[in-house]
Amino acid sequence: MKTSNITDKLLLLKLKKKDPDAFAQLYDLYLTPIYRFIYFKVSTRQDAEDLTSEAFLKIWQYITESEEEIENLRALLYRIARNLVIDFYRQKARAAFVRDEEVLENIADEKQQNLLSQIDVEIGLNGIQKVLRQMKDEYREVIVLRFIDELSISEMAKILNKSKGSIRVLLHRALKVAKKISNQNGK
Amino acid sequence: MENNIIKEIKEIKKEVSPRPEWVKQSRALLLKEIAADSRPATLGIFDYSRFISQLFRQYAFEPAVVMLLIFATFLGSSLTLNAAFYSLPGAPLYRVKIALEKTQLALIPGEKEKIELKIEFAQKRFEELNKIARQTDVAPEEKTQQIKEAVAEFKTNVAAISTHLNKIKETIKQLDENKTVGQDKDQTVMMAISASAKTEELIKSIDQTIESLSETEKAEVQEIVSNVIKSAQEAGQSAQELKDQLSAEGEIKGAATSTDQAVETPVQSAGTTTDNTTQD
Repeated sequence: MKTSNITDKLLLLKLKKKDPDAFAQLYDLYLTPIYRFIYFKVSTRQDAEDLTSEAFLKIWQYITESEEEIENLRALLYRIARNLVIDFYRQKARAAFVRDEEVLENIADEKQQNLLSQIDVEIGLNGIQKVLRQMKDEYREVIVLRFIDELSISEMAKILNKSKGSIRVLLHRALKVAKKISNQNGK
Repeated sequence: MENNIIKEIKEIKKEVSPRPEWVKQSRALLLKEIAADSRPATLGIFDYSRFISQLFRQYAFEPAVVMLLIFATFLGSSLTLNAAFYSLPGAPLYRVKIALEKTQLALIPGEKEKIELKIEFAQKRFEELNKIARQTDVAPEEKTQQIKEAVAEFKTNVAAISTHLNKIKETIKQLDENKTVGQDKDQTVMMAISASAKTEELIKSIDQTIESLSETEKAEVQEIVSNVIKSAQEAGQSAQELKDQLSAEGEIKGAATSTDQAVETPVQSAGTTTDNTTQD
């Protein structure tokens, strides 16, 4: 049993009671990892900052208003952040006058991909960050969660709504792709 | 190569972090935003019990936790049993020890084994009394109380042996009425005589221990000790009657010698045990 799990459970109880100190504690504890998670999904620091703040506000609303039992606070926070990013790209797509709802599902990821592949040019990224930006969002996401935010496979499965086996396969493929891109960039 | 990539990815942690001024600003802004809907809270007993039940539900069925629980239960019970085994009268676990002995007695099948066990328990009480008598770091009142309890337990054990011997006497009577002659009867008589001899030896030893006590301690246990001697005498009488009866009948001609040997050997061994215990 991890100590962080126990801390999270106690924090959750206080949050349920709408304790502002507990919220401040949650913010201090998870701000940087959540910011980093979002940062690799959006094109600018400004977007990352706005979405991170929104994620914390959303989790406060969810915990204080929802009657559902929360099993893993950290996983919930990442899930909220992830959904916010998806909504962010959908809104961008809408702004581009795309009306067809069926296309909308795929558009979010495609738009995100196009924006991110151009970002290294805009802000002059290099090295492994550039490799990550060039990767498919699905792969980049598992790499960030596993190796940067150091989440367990089971937590990742909860956040991404996938089985543990699928997460392992995804991670394996993601590392393979990262290696390939890194080699290509090196040439 | 894969390891290098992972190492490089992990390095990003240092490179990517939010701007400190934004962190401060955003924190203040968010706290201001939730202020209207929040109130300082502390966790009560109800919250903690909810927290424990949540943790239990989440982790209770994980194999490692199950194994740990089994191990803790096993270790806890063995430690308790061990502590109970070495406990002396007056200790909280002493009652557990007596209860365990009673259970052991109830579970053992044969009459021979039962009486042997009763003698063994009486010997244990004697050893306990010796240990208490040797204690120097206990308050006199407490020590007297412990001695009283140990002698009282010893009395219970001797009375149980006496009752058992009376029961044997009754059984022999029944065997006589049924004209049953044979090995069963011889063995029962031998067992009764041996038990009586061992009890007698124990009484002698406990008498010596009582003599070594202070006058106050002696006065406290005098009445119980005289009751113990009375019970032991009754047991000895029952055994003697059986021996005389059988010698007169000449039924254990060959066995008579072996009976005497049976009496001698246990008495000697009881004596040795007592000596060893006293030396401890």
